Amino acid sequence: MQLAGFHSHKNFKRNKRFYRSLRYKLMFIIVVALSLAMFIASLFFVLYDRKEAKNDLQEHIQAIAKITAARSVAAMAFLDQGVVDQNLKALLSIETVHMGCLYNRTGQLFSSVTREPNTLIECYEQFDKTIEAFSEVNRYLVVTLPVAKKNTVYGTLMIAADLSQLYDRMLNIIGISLIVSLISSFIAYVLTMKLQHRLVKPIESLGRAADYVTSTQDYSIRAERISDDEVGQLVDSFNGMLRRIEGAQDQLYEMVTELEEQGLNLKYHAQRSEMHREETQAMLAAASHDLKQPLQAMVMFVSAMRSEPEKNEELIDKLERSIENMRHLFTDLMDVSSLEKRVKTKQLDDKVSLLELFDHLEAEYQAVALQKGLAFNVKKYDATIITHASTLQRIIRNLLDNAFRYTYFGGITLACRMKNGALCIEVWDTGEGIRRNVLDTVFKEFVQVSVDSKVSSQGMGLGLSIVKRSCELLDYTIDVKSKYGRGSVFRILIPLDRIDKLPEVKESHKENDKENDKESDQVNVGQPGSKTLNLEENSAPSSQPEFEDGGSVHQEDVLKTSISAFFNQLTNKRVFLIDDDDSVRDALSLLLGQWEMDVRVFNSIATCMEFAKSDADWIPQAIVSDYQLGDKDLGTDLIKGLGHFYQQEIPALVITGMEDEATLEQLKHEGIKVLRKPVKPAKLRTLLQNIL
Amino acid sequence: MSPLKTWLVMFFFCVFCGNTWADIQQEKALQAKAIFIYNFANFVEWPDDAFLSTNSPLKVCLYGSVPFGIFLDAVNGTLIGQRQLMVVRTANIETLEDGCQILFVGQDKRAQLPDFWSNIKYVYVLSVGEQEGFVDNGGVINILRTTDRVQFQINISNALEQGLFLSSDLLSLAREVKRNTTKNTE
Repeated sequence: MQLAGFHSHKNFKRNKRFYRSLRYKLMFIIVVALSLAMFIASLFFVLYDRKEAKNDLQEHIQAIAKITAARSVAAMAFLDQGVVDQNLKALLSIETVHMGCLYNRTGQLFSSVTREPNTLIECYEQFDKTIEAFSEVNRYLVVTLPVAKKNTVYGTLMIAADLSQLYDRMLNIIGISLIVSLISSFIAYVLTMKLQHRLVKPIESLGRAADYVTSTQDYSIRAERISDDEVGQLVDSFNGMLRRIEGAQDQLYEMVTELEEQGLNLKYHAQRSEMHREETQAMLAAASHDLKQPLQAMVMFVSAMRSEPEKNEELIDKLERSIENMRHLFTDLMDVSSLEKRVKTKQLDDKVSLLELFDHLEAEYQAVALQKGLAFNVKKYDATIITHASTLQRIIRNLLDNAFRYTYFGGITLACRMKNGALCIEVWDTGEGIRRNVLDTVFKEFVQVSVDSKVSSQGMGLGLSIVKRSCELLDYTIDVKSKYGRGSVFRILIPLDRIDKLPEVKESHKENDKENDKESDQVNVGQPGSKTLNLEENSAPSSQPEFEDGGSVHQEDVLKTSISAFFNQLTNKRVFLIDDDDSVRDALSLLLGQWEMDVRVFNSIATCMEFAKSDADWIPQAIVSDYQLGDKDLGTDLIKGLGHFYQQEIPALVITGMEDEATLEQLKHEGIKVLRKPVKPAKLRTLLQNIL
Repeated sequence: MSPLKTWLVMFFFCVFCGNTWADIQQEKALQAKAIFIYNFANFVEWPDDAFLSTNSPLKVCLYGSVPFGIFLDAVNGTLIGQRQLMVVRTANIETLEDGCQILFVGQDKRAQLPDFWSNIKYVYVLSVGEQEGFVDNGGVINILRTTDRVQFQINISNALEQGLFLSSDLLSLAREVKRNTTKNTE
């Protein structure tokens, strides 16, 4: 599982636009909100302050007026100008007072004082309204107060105060508010610049992860959860979605794999059926062709007997031989068809000792060889296999018959040995050989090959086809190598699971095989002293033979090429396979081998660790292990141990038949994939591809 | 016309004019005095004992011939604080025995003055006069007349003896505020 925690800026045009847009919005919101708030606050404050200041001034002036009036009342009563003037003068000591006027009882201006005469405001000559009041005139606050003692009003005092100071103050405050607003906005802007990061980054990261998933179609990616908020939840949802998609995709792959396999199977079976049909038809054709001859001969003999009765004895012999021939052919045919039935009902469980069989055949054919003047060697191998005895005999017999029929000099060798890990039975001859261009058709068309043969062909076509069919039914591989004019070898490969017993083989099994393979195709054929039949110039066991294989019967090879590249992701990947159950282990190793993986198979933790220590450079790319290995060992322990040993985490798969939910959960938690038994190949394949 | 006649005519004219001018001035002065008396009523505090009851008027007694009396009539009945102003004109001394808050003695009764105060043993009387030495002889306020203004003198000791509270405003406006020393009370 990868985390898409990118920190580099990718140049997706779409991203850039997106990035600016969100940031811009954030900035806009914050700056506008802040500005608005500050503006409202400032406005309120300014207005409030203005009102308060004016009220203060008003109260102030009213108080002054009261004091002055009280001081002046006596003077006004007694019309003492001097005192009145003095009192009014005292008013000017207050900065805001611009002007003071005192009117007598009749409303005439009695005394006045002005700070600086101006045209905006001056004392009226006459003022009749003796009430306590205030008003605003031309940016001056005008306060009037009656000058009275007890009930008697002696005059009116009027004071005008300059409001301009107030306005100045208001302007000051506005100025300060503006500056403070600007500074705050700036600070907010800077802070937002830094902090919008935290909001925008997680969104960006998610966007990049989504883009990456879209472009690579890799659904194992998960987005990184950066912040703990709605965006974090969005990331979780997104990851959940990916998990689902991944799961769905895996299921899809599994299904597709299964379908493909089924498809292949069906194709294979269809092709096989088609082939069988063709074979059967060919067989019938060959049969009718081959049977014509003895019949023809018999007709001739009978008519000769009628016309030349004196030769009856001789003719009767010949007749008998023809009958015998036909009988053989019929028997072969019948046996093949009964073999088919037996294969269907799986009655192929005779234990056949190859040693005994070979002895028998040696004895039998030695005579024939002697008669024809050919050498006959038998290389025996003490193995016992499980098969259909009579069919196996027929196969070998047919091959030998063929060999003897088409060999005029030299010799024939019947051999049995282990080659490349399989048991094979070979029939070598130094006969005519088969041309390369007809090699392919030998098995396919059951055509009698030797055109220029001296020997009368007697049912070779049918015989070989029977051999082929029998091999198929017994699930043996047959192949032929031949060089025209030098000889041929027919080889039957018997799969290992048909082998019941092998002769005692040492542990260094492989070495023996290698030796065998080296001498491989230099078998001594013919009489002692004759040249060795060297059919394979390059005798390295696994190199391509000079001659093309003719009629290799494994049809799956043909079909394998149609498997799509998708299925080749496992090719050459190194994997450890550990299971203590032999059959499971074998089956799995076969499966993994089919997928062309480089498998190392072990049956216990100990053997696995031994290998790891001995060959520390061969680091597995995956581990497939049974959960329970032996009595106490657990697959998970092995996985952890290998992780420690190789100093890296190796993706692992555990196969188990257990149903214990708790353990399964724990395994999932540790990141180990679990596969329940029975294992479906498709699922195993998908999982392996996942973890690799 | 002979020069003599012209001179005579002009002389009499001037006298007439002068008299008229003088009359105007005279009237103004009387008016001012009246105002002053009224003001004194405003700026002096009598204790409650000075009155018979809370509803008793504030009596302004004019003893003898008081030329500005008519001006005071204009304010007769107006409220000074809570009390009504009552202007009383009498030539009879007995009338005064009822009690006056403000007492003004006319010119014709001037001769009686030195004894007058000893006779009247009332307290709480604001005595107002208009001659030299008025306040030295027991008077409280003396109205003086200068060339263009009317002013007053106050003897604060006498005021205090009478039990009167004089407003500081009043005192500050007085031309002179006297105190009785031991010499004067002899």
